[in-house]
Amino acid sequence: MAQRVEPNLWRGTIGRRTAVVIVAFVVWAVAIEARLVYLQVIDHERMSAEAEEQQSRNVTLLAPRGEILDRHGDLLAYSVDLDTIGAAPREAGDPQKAVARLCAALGDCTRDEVSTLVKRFRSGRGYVYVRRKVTAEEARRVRDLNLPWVVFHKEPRRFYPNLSLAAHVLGYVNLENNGLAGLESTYDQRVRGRDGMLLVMNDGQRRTFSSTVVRPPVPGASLELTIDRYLQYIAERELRAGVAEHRARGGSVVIMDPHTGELLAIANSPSFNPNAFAKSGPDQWRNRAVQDIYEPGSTFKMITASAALETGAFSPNDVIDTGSGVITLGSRRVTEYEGHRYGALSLTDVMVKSSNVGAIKIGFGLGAERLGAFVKAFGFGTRLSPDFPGENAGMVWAPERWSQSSLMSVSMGYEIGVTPLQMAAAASTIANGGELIQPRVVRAVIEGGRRVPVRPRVVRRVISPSTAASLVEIMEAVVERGTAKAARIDGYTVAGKTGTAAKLVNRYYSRSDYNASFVGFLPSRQPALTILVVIDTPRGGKGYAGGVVAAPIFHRIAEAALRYLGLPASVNPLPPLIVGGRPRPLEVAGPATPLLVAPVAGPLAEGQLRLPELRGLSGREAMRVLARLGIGARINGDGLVVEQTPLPGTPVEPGTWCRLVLSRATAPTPPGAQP
Amino acid sequence: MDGRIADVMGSGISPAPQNRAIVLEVDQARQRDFKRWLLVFAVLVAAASFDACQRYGIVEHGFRLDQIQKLRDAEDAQARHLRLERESLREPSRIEEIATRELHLVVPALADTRVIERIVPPEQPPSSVVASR
Repeated sequence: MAQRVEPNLWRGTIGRRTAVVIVAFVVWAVAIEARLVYLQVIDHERMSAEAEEQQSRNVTLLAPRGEILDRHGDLLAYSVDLDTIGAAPREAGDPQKAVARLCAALGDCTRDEVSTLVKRFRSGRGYVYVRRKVTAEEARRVRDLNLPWVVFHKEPRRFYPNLSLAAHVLGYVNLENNGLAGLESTYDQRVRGRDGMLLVMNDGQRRTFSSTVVRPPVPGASLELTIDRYLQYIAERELRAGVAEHRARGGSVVIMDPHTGELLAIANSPSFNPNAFAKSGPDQWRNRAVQDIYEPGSTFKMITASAALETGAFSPNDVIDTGSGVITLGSRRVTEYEGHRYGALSLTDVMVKSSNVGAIKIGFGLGAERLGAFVKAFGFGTRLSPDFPGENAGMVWAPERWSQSSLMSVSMGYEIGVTPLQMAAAASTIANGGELIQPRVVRAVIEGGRRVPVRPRVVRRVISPSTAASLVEIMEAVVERGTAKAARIDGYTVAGKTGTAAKLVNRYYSRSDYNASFVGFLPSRQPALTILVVIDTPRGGKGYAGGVVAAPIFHRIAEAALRYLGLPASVNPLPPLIVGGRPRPLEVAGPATPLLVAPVAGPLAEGQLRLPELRGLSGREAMRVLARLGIGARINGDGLVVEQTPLPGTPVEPGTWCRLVLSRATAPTPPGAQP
Repeated sequence: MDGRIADVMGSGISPAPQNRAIVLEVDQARQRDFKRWLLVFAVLVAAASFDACQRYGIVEHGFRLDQIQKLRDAEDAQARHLRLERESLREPSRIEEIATRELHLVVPALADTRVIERIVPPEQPPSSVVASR
């Protein structure tokens, strides 16, 4: 008999099984959801922080250090990135073996360096430096080892591509790129810039897929100096040769523009290479031109003479009786150099022959108060330039404390300490017509894409133009027929003064140690350069006098500078060279100073101005001058301005027009030839 | 048995339910509903795929950008090295050494030189914009 099957039994079975599956599914889903809630809500902060740490990191964007350029834009100091080699010592294994492998690749590890590296590897730190800022070749050799525990990263290093050129002006930086001396130190905050920050997102394989600049780096400011690279080279070359020739202890040369105070060259001997400053010592690092003081001796007589002429106490032709060449004051006895006896001398000849007795008598005629006032007015006893924080102010006693003996000494350049920079600035005062201009070495600062020039600053008027003109004539005579004949340059008028000052050694004036100096400017009537040369303790066979030691160095420097600058002769100048002829020959004006105005009689009405001399300028320069004055220009032709209407000096009002005719000289076309 | 079926077929009377063939009826509404949900699901999947592709593309783009930036930085660094090298080669003492020792050039005496034309360089304006680095 067939068994009876309940018709709905299967429903129960299926139902139960379905319920089990559903319950299992729900439990699984709830578990997943609970985990999600835990991870994303309860543990959210920790997970986010961990994710951020894994995925993102902050990278410092190093700000490039600013460049230092000369006045023509040539590089004097520059930074480039170099490889720095680091290591993870915990993964390197045996420290001795690891260091041996690295040093084998580097090739020049010293014993000290090896022991230092082994110590670092044993220190237990996660990361150590092996060598910083290595050459590309060294980095390549270490990279070729393929050591997984070696890490490379870039660091900027400062280079001075001209080696020791202008080393004392530029200074140097340490391994951390902190300026330690010179302009690198003075302007360190502006030149270093400000580092930025980059937020980098990495994937699981540490590949960067996103980077956001959180804070952009601010590049350091660049400095444009007044230094002329080639003049600096000339100064250093001739100074080095002069110091070697005279077997001197050292020396300084300063070249400056007397009208603007711009320092075109500052050279010191001994010098050093700022690329490897640690290999030299403090004696070489010292910027003698601004830090060392010396007793100037007879070069200081130009200050005494300036005071005498300016106060009217003396005139250039006044006669001063130097007698037998001896002057006594109590127990003190001062004689002429090498025992000369000059008798009666004019003030001019006191300077020409550098008479000590004559200078002392001029000093007595002035008195301490008046001479002291001029000493101060010329800038002695004060720091002149803001670009040299280490500048020595010099040593000047207050005139109230001068005894008669001190007055004697100061009149001839003793009992006063000056720097070469101060002497050069004083000579420039005479050269430019009587104004003390602040010496400076930074011409412009380039920051944020803008060039901001540093304007010349007139400190004060010291002497009148007529006094300055008289002094120029006197100093010309010194060179022409006096103690500085070795400074003469054919075709050029040179004005200057020599100095030979005994040095104080063990509180007594030495009979063998002298500072030989010469300061001059040329061309004397329109000076372009003031050059000072100081040689410390010359010992060569030619003697120690300024006229024998320093003046020839001045001569060589000046000659090279004149040739380099293309300054035409000031004595019997040749007529202008016409390269090509046209129906109307080109007349080139002399050295053009656009803002100089030809003197024209008659006062100016209100709102009027005088038209400047534009002839000799290029069309662009002339338009720039006129634009600054608010005058329009109508130009005919091209080349240099040969004609202007109205004439220079004519009173005009802003808004008027000036007609300029330009012309250019070209080589003539030979007959029958194609042009 | 054959007779019974013949009888059933012949007489027009439906066979007993347990022997009736199962006939599937198409549920049109359910079919429509199913197709609608399928379409929605397909659109969602397409949108999600598109979004994923975009994100992947952005990440890939980021990798490429980073690579190009690294290349550019490397070129910049190389340019700086070359500029430094060029300036080192222009160092005045080196030039003078080459000129005098190798090329046997001599410095002309002042008397042998003559100024043909002197160009006065114009003054820089008070504040000028220069190309930024």
